[in-house]
Amino acid sequence: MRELDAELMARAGEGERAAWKTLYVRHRDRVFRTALRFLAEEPAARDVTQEVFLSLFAHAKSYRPTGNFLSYLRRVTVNRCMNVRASAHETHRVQSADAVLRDVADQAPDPEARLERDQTAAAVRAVIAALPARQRMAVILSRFEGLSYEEIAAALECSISSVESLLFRARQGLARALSGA
Amino acid sequence: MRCRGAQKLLSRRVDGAVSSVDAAALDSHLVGCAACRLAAVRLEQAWHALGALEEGISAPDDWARIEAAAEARRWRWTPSWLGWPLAPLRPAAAGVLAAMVALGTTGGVLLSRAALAPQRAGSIESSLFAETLGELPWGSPAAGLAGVFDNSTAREEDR
Repeated sequence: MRELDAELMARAGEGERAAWKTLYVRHRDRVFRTALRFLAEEPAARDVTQEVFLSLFAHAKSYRPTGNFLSYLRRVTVNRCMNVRASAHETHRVQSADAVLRDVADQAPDPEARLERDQTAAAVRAVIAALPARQRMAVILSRFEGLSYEEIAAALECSISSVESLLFRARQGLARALSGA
Repeated sequence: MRCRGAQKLLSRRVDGAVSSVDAAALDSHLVGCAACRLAAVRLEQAWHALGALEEGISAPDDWARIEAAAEARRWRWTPSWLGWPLAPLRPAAAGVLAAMVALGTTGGVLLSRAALAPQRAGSIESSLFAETLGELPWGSPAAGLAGVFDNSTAREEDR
């Protein structure tokens, strides 16, 4: 997979649009998922996804496959998410979380279960939204993307001990908020 | 083991990142510490609760939108990279730019030489300047300056 992505990047760097599109199709879900969980707003997540792929292809020519392509992609995604969070989107983030939840609730079997799941998800989402940005991103990468400390450290461009610290504080915050303590 | 250290290990244990030695030390601490046992339960519950957001998320197909955005930004990128239709015009644009720079430089040199010409009366530039401007109703500035030079020379000779 790594070789294929590196090959696609090289071809995109030479101006081959089909390679560019293939990279997009292969990785758009991954990028969008992280952005949506972080921003909790679909339009903002779509914007981030677009910016990630534009940035990716703008730098395709200078890309050197020295490391893992997914690490590179993750780093670009995390940086874009952090930038968006610091901008105007932040003010709309929590308001539109319900829009995302509606899609989830629609898949639940019956109205009661749907409502319960909706409420739980809303509560969890609100708690995550209240975390500081880097803690939140560490939680998303660890809990939902299943990344190791080393991979999270590479994505957040920090040390492994910083990741441990971020996750420790994030978990304490989550536990406190969800238990009502 | 202190409570702070135990709770850090609890956090790492969630990720399965605790060695067997640390795990044994943590377990022995938990046996005697009710506060850390409660913290352990809450932490596990909170981490488990995040599962509510484990819905399958699929990205909408925004390929057309991305292509349109790339098209709109084409001037910010190297045109030849994406094979934009305007790429063949780049050599022509470079030629026009070079011609403009050459014209500007030549014009600047000519003007500056002409402006300095009156100060060097009698020189070839002065003659050219005088020929060009000499027909003006108030006379040639070169001639005037030449007069000044001539007078000052005469005064020096008088002394």
